[in-house]
Amino acid sequence: MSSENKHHNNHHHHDNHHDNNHHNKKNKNVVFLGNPNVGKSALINAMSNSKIKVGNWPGVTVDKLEANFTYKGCELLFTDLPGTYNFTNEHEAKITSEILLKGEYDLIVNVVDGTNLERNLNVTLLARELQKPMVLALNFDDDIVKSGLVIDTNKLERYLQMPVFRTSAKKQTGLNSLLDYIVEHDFSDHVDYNIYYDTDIDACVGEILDILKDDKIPEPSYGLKFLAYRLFEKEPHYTELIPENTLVKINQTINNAKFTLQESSASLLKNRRYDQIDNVLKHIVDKKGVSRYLATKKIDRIVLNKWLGLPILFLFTIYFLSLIFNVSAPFIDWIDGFINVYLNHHIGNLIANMPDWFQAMILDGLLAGVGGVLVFAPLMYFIYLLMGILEESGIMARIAFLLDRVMRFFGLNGKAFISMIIGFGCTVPAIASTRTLGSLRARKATSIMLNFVSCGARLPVYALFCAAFFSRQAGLVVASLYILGILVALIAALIVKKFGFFNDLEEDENFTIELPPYRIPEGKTLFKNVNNKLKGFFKRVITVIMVVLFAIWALSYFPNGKQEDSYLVKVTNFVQPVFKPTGFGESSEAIAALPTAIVAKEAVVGTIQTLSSVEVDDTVDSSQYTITGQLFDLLNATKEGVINIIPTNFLSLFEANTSDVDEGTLNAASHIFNGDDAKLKAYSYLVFILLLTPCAVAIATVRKEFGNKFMIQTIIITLLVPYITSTLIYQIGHLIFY
Amino acid sequence: MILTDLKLGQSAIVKKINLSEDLTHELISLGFSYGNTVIYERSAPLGDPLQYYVAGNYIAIRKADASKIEVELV
Ligand SMILES: Nc1nc2c(ncn2[C@@H]2O[C@H](COP(=O)(O)OP(=O)(O)OP(=O)(O)O)[C@@H](O)[C@H]2O)c(=O)[nH]1
Ligand SMILES: [Mg+2]
Repeated sequence: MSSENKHHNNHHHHDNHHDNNHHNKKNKNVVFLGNPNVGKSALINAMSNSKIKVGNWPGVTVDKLEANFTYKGCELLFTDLPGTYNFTNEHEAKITSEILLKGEYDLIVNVVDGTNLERNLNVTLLARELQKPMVLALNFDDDIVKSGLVIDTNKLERYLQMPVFRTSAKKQTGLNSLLDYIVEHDFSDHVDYNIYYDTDIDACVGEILDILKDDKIPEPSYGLKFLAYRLFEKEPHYTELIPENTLVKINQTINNAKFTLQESSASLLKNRRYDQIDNVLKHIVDKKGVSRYLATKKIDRIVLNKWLGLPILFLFTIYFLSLIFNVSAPFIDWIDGFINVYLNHHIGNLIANMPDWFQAMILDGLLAGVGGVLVFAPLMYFIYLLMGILEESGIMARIAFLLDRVMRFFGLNGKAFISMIIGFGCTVPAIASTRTLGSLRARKATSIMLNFVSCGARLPVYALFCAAFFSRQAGLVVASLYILGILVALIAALIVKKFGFFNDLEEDENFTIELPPYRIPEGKTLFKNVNNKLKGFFKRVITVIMVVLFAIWALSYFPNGKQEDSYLVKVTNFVQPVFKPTGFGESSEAIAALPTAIVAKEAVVGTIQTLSSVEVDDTVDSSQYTITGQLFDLLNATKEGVINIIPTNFLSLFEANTSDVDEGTLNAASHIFNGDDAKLKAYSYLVFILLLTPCAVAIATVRKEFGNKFMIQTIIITLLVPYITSTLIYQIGHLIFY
Repeated sequence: MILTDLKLGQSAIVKKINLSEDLTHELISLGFSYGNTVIYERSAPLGDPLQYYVAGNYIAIRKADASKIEVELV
């Protein structure tokens, strides 16, 4: 800090807070700037205890996100921004540059990955041109120390003319010094960084600045100096703001300057910044340490290998999927028993004297319905956990690299696959992540595809029906659904490409991606993150889903307590003919569950459980009614779950979830389809659920990102596609098998 | 010569980028700046895109774009 005087000499200001010489301002507005994947979000999370999404690939944060908190009596507003390499107006970088240029903040915290300064400092040098108070957070301090890299921070401070703080978001070090600095300093003074390129450039920019002043160009929020540099680079976004005659003078100045280089003035500054950084790093970094890519290089030799790369990816995906099922299966069985045997027994006894409708509401509506969804919490937990590991590991960017060539055939680029993988977890963040894709055409096409990618909330539905209908072939069925989802998504992309939908929008397909080093996810953050998502699942279940299920229960109970005569059956009877071609038209439970699926996919499970009369097996072991018996079962489930991590037989990858289904009520669904083609009906139904409009939140996200018209298009497509596909599957299946 | 002429593990110095202004700027920001050293690491299994080591990072770009980057062997 010693070298930075700019922020200390504020004694000549007429500032009425000034007698209170430390906390000059009680609230401060801080923006976080830096390349993608340098830990901006992780740093904000660590300092403010927020829950911003973090991941090891470039482009995790795609929107401006705020964290509000108090530190030592000072109200801090931290704004997390999408990572950027420069202040362009493209893609998600647009949000970043707009906020930075507007200048409505007290301080810029420029986060850099200390093991990657050569590239990261470019943004630092560029941002200095804004002449705003700035500090550098030299993040990844843990990795710097581990790799033996020695960085002379004092020299770096002197060179950049700003304070430098060593931080580690992972190890939570250096955070307080940075926070102390932020609350203890007054940033209202004008800063004046000494920007230097070379004599010719500086002279030329100086002349441009004079022209701007002479022609009385009003000072923009980002300052005249910054504007002069951008005009020197002839950036269209800025030149269009300047009156014609002024611009002519400026361009003359640039043309008259004698640059003896091959580069155009447009890329001159960018290249110069690299030269400067090279020079500086020679003096401040001792590179004797090991490369940050040391381990990565070895892993990539196998994972990205010409022959092994794609097979490994394929096997890994299958294993990944089966892991979610196999590890969660014993826990699901346990919760099922706990709710439908233990709780059902005790609550049933407790309310035995209440009116019939009340008993029915609690036992069928609440316990069977809501409980029926909660049974699948372990499934959600493990998919969130595995997605978390995947996102932190560095694999995401590699999948984009491996599959870019394939995606290009469909008119997209490899990054679209990152969105699809996020979509295996949840469609909502996946739609937001399309912002990194560039053209609006690519974003819309990918957003359409995402509707058909099987999200985590659909898993409980598969699990329920597989237990009821496909005990032997469960693995095959689930795998086929995932594959079908991807196929339909790709076909949709192909149709969009062939027929040139959205082509009136700009078309600029290119693909550049950074492959970050592999990282081992940090346990604490990972579990905190997973727990948060699980909380979200519980919240969804006890709010929206519970309301929906009560409504379904009421419709099926009234007017007279007999489901056959209920309002619900009247309505489903009415729409039945429409669903006849799909094969599942005869089942009023199945049809009634469809609207609830659009609210939230998990609700299907609850609806089916509510509507199927649950008969608890009387022969259950009486130990199941005691809490010790339940705990003992939980212990066994844990043991089984751990064993299931290791696949014993490749062909039986998915089989664990078929064990013990008869113990609880997971087979309640088996009554809803009958006849010798019950399996085909069930499969057709699963396909329908897979391809149906994802959920209310996803649709709201589509609207937020793309507007009303596209939302309506999306809804229509996601109603037609499942109908057509299910009909084809049922009809063709019938011809072949029956 | 151009970037795609490099053999595995070979390095070269960036001379010129003949691409659209936006993409040129993006590539410079990613490290393909005038005078920087680039090492060819590998191609993806399907032959495209190509992975390079530049300015301390692994960057993947498409073959078509790489072929528009002029380089000089060191
Ligand atoms: N070892 C280590 N890892 C870190 C540190 N800070 C962040 N990470 C990891 O670096 C990766 C990127 O972190 P993010 O916070 O998502 O990065 P970001 O700058 O917000 O990235 P974008 O949102 O894409 O711009 C994650 O895998 C983090 O866990 C750190 O100080 N040390
Ligand atoms: Mg982020």
